Amino acid sequence: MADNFRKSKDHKVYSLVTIGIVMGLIISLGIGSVYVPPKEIAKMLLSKIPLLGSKITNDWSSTNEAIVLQLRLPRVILAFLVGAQLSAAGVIYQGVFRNPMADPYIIGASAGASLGAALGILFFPTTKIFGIGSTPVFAFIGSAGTVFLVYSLASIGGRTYSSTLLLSGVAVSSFLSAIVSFFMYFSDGKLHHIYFWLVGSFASQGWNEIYINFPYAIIGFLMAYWNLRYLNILQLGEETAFFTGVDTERLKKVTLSAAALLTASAVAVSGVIGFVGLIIPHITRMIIGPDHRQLFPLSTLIGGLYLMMADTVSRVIIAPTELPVGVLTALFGGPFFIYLLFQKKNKDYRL
Amino acid sequence: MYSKTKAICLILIIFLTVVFTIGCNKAPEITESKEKNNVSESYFPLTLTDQIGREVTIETQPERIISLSPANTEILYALGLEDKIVGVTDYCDYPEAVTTKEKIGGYEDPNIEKIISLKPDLIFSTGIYLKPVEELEKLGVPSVAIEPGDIDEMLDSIELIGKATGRYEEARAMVGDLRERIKKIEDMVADIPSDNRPKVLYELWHTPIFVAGPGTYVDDIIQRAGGENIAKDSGKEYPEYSQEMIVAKNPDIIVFSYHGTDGGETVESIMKRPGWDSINAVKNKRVYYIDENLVQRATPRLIDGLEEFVKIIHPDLFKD
Repeated sequence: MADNFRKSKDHKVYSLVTIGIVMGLIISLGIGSVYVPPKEIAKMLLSKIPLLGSKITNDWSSTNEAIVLQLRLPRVILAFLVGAQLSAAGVIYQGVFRNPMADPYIIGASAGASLGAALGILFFPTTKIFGIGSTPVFAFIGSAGTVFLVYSLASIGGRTYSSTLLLSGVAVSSFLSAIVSFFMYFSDGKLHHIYFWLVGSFASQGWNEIYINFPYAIIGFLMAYWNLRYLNILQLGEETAFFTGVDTERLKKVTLSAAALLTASAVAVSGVIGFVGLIIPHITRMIIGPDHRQLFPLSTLIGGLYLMMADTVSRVIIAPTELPVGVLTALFGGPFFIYLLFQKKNKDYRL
Repeated sequence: MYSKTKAICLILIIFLTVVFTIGCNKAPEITESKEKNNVSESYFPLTLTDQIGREVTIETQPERIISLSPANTEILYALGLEDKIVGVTDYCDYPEAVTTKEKIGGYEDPNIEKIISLKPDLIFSTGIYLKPVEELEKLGVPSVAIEPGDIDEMLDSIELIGKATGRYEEARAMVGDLRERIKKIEDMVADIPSDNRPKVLYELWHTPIFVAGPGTYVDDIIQRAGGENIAKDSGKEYPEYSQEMIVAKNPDIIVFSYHGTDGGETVESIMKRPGWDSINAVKNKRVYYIDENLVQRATPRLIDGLEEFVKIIHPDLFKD
């Protein structure tokens, strides 16, 4: 009976979030620094659907079509993807480390990405790799490489302790950040380019970025999705999980690789967008509880919705100029999160 | 215990005395070198108001000048003061001869000790980074802040630098020439009605897109060159500008620069940007590169930049 009640509540939550995403998508596509009538947007989108598309008469300007289909739509989708990936990675890190402070950047993903991006901007600004600039490629390699490095540093005799992992992550992060600061100090005119990458933005991202981001997002998501049950058992403690028959070392390897992949593909296309991966898992946990099988997919959806809306605000709040979305997520996210913590202070709020 | 305190006091007194003696000796040391070269005694001492409204008194003909910005350096060179420049910033790169000059660091964080060791008698600073300047003034080195906001103020800054260095006549002659060149262009574009001026986008950087807004030399130049800056509504000097808005405003001409680095953008890559093919400038292949130092640095070269812009915006009008 209780189980049935739980199921129906979950369904309600999922349908609410789905409705939220559909509405968010409509709003995000509908508003921007340039006004395009909603009817026109709907027609444009329908015209792109096979079979149905041929029935729709093209009565809109090519300018509006370029704005909606080439600039706004890919940007909205990409913001959703990045938000989803960061939140999913946040759930994994918080689960593996059994630590509410963990976020996607905790073991060096952002510091490594920043160093990669800085190197790309400073030394290979004109290089193109697979048709895209060197910066995202370098950022991806830097991010994933750093997490791999931290993991191998923390492994002792085939075992990896969470605390060692966290510590070496913090140490490597600080060291890499120092190198980035060093490069920035000597970068003169290029300082701004690195700075704006660090802040994070979707302003000049398009379909290309989605194509390079999406495959990694799917692989990372599935890798983690198949291990959520074990991640639940891990919450009882590594020892207990081990004696219950969970290969904890393998579990950590697979889930952390998944998280590294998700984070690296996200930062590569957007720069370092903070706070999403930290607060969305917590907010979702307040809604649906600590079961990772629910928490993970729902965080993914809510994270996507959150960043999609945040980016929409960043597009219009000081139009025709833009506010970097990374600034906004922290401005919004920080106070909201503190508010939620105070709300929950007296209740049983655990990981 | 008591004797220990006494000893510390004594050491402190000695230390402070030494420091003060050295400190007091330093200031006169710098001013000393000025005494010798009184070329035009009637002209100096001179009190003038700099571009941030401060009154500055220059006692004698400056012989050892330090420039704290690339623009100041260029103007000093243009006025033929090359031999009197003893220090420039790391960013000073024009004219080429400047590379052999002593470097004193960046304009935000110049090396004060280095500056003092060069024994300057006049400093040309910017109006923004005043902290080092104030420190230097305490040591008795006068400084003139140069902070022009548009082309006219750039011309004023040339006259001001000329005045402060005893080259007022040269400066006025140069400004006269520059004004003539500006006038020529203004006459050229005067007949173009204001609703028929090509819309121009000036892009400083591409990821994300930064453009030149109101209050910049670029904005001034576009206007004087008979164009209309599409970003003049942005309320910020160098804003990050919405791509949607660029497509919607549909500029007739796109001019881009590299912002200090070759960012890999080319005319071709701009024309290939997704969604930009509906822009007139892309359709008509009117995308141009310009050296940013011609349009973003307050020097006489701004007028070269202005002429370049006229050639780009109204190629039919400008024939030299």
